[in-house]
Amino acid sequence: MTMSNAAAAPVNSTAQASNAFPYRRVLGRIGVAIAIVAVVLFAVFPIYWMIVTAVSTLGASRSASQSLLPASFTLDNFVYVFTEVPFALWIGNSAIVASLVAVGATVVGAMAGYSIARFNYRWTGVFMLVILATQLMPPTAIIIPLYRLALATGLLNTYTGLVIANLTHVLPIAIFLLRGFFLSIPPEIEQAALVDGCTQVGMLVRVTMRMAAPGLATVFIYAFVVTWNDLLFARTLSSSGSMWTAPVGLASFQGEYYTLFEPLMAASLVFALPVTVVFLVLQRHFVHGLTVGGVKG
Amino acid sequence: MAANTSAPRLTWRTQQRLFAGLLLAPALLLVVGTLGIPIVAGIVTSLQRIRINMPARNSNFVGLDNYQHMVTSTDFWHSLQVSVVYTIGSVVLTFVLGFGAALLLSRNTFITPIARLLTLLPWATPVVAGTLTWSIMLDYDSGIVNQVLAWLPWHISAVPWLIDANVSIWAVILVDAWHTFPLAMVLLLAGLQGIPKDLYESASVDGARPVQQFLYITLPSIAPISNVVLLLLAVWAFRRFDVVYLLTRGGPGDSTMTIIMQTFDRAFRYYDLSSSATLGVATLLISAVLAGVYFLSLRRQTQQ
Amino acid sequence: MNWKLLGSIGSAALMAAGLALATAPGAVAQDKTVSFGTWMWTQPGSGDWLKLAGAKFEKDNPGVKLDVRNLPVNDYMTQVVVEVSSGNPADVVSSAVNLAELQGSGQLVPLNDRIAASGMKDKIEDACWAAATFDGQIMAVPISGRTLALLYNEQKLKAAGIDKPPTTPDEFLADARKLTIKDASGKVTQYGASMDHINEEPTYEMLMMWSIAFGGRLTDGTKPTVTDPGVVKALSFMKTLYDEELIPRGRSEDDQRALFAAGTSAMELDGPWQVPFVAKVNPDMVASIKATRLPWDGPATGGPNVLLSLGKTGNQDLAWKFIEAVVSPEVESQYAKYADTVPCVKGAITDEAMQAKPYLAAELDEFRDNPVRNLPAGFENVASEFESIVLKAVTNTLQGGGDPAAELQKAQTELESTFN
Repeated sequence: MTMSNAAAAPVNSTAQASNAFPYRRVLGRIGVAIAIVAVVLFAVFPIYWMIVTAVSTLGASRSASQSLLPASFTLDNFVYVFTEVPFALWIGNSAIVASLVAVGATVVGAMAGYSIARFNYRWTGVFMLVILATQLMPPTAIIIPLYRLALATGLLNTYTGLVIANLTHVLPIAIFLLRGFFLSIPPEIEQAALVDGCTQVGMLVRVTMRMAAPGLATVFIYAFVVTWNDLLFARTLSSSGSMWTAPVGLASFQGEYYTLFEPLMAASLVFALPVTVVFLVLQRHFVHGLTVGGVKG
Repeated sequence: MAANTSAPRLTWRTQQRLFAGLLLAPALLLVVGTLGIPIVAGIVTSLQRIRINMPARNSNFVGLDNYQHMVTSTDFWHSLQVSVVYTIGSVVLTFVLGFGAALLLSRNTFITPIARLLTLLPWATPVVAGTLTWSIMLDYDSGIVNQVLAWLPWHISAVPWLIDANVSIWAVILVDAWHTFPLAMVLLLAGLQGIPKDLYESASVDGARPVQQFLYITLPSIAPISNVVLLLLAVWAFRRFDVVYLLTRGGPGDSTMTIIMQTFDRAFRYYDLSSSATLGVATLLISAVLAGVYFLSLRRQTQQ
Repeated sequence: MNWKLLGSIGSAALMAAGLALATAPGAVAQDKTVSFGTWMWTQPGSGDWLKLAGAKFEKDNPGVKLDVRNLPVNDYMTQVVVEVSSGNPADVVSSAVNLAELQGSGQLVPLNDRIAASGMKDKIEDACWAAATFDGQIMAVPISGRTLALLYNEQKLKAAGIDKPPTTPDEFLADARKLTIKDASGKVTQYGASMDHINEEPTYEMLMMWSIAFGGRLTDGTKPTVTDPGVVKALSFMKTLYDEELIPRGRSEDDQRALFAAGTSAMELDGPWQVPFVAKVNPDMVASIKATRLPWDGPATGGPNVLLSLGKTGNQDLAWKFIEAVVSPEVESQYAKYADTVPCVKGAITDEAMQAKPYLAAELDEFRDNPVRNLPAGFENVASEFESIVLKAVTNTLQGGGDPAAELQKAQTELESTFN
């Protein structure tokens, strides 16, 4: 790529700096720093507010005078969550369902995404459209037929039923994402592995999936978080409190006449913790995988 | 080549086709089986009249009556309009936020890892928790947002975020964007980091300014993943239910009554299952057409 | 092409799937269970009382378990629709005002014979039975009811120079004006009153109440009468409250309750459950919260708000025993200790309970004065649709700035054409 510049001398920003005070660069850096702080504040402030509310006494969240720092401090709300509600059961259920769905979405999604990316037959395009089309039906319009289906197949109130429903919900996006990632892996590398004597499946596992690792991690995180947060399926497809997942349990903090927000926020923090941990663990892998190896030229 | 040792009856091409098909099969089975059946059931219901509270009027087949009724009702067109505004607004805001954040956090300075992690938190937060927190924060009288606005040197008067018909849709879009922009950021960041550094280096050597580098290197390289992100954002925004339900329930008045919200209301507030199914099928058709158009135009782009 | 590997992967997957299906916990098939759908099980107060009934039921019927399907109220109502429309209701189904709309589904069982056999008829107030009877069929056993009263913050009234709460609509309006405080910038810091007025069901009841106050009714039992002068006056009254910002505008019922409890509004038409709520979130203020009769000469609105029906599940005999446990004297006598609504069983509230909860007095008085059912008379089974048309008129008048008479006329026309 050639860019001819009429101002003859090659403009190298570091060369400039040695002469005058690098106003532009410093301002630029400061500007970027401010922007980063702004974005982070926007992302984090509601979570901070959740924490403030969770440690406040009852009713503080609605009082007419609010301050940025908590006006009162109490751990009563957390005590309530840990002792009065079966939070361990709810988190356990969420963990089981979310893990199974995440694994399923990664495996099944990778298989399908690879198939669509590499083998570009006409019907793969149609398949993509069909898969996308299933995402376009409002979930609120299909829960009654879905309930009936679960009832008829005996999967109501089972882990299997929840896993299948969530997996199906997550798959289209997973396949879409993974197709994109596979497309960005040049086939030459795969051909090279085949020439070297790998079987097709072996090549898939050892070469392709390694290079698509960031994509796989993304899909895993995505499937895990979406399933953890799902309320509609969890509530519809369970008929006893023992199958409640965290979001359904969280919703139960809303009362008939009024909602006590402080314990609800405390519960939210407790329930958001496992997801955040999974996030933390995988996020490092993900970032690492992007910068290491890769396709250089 | 490995193919020479395979069973002689199947050609390489057929084998490859089978392999492709096998890889695809589980996903196909799941999606078509689990989603396809309810969708077909929904289509069937839309051709019937099923009202739980008035069984005397139920009928097993009323043809396209429901559709006719829907197309001539102002409610449908209004909620379609609300859905369109909501989708466009949400996609634009989420993409701008996500792209901006990705750009800002694409360099590896010492604060970037922490900043990245913190910016990802909104997406990991359960929607119930995050949205309810926003509803407290945006409260007209006791919300912290209005209080902060009052403290600012510009003394902005309290904004009726969730209680004024003109403002509420933007409030819901804001909360939706807050929940979703981290995911857009993650995907765009992956795209940004996939751009080889040498491209930038050689451009600098050739004398390109940062703005030019951005326009001619960054944007084109990120176009493929951007297209994916935009489509995903549009699909998600169009389908969004929980944020609207928890924040405004479709109100004030009708200002945030998206089609999805109306589908819910019809079934669970008015006990009218057939009308809800009709709306659902209509939504499916409209968005399928739009997505198809988008997808085909993408195809044409990549083929060039 | 390694078919063997593919084959082994495939069969492993199939085995795993089969195992998962086989060992996944299904609906626990016990010898005998009675499934009970409710939204109150984890609610402080009424939930604890229900648990008593559950304990008694299991004690009296050894070997039988009560399988409680509890969801928060809005989710519960949604789930009931899902279950009923799929033909899979719980054995015992709780309902509120939506009983009228549910019973048409054919999934609930008429209870006339069982009630006759158990002698329950005389033990429960007649007004409660009326709400559960459709075409002579009794479709549910009413457990508790509620009406609304006028709640006010005595301290705030005194501070505004009002020594007794209003007893007529004009006094209510005047007091609301006195109690509304605005700051220098014109923002309201204290609202004189509260009023449900957004697009939700409580707004319909609010319009009903004020219509009663001005001598009007929304239906006459067979046809809609929303252009009745009393109704028009009521909507104009509500419009005045809205326009002068004497009430928190655009807020939902829950939000207005929270504002009253936080001390941001001074008067409220609401139920006695507010007092324990205020005690929780604003204990310093609870002593000044008082309840009195509604500010007009006429009945209140209300009726049963918890009713238990039997689902058509084949398990009716056992399920009935649970309902009997709920209305048994042993359990009913504990009612006042826990709950803050009016029990439908006669004599369940003892004098000592009244001593402990003086704020119940106003509600009980209203309940005994035959409140008007908070549903459109004659249109109970299509209540939601009827109400939504009326609500459009309300929101067009208030938020949309329209003329009350004109909007009500539009609603009347639409009602007549929809329900002819």
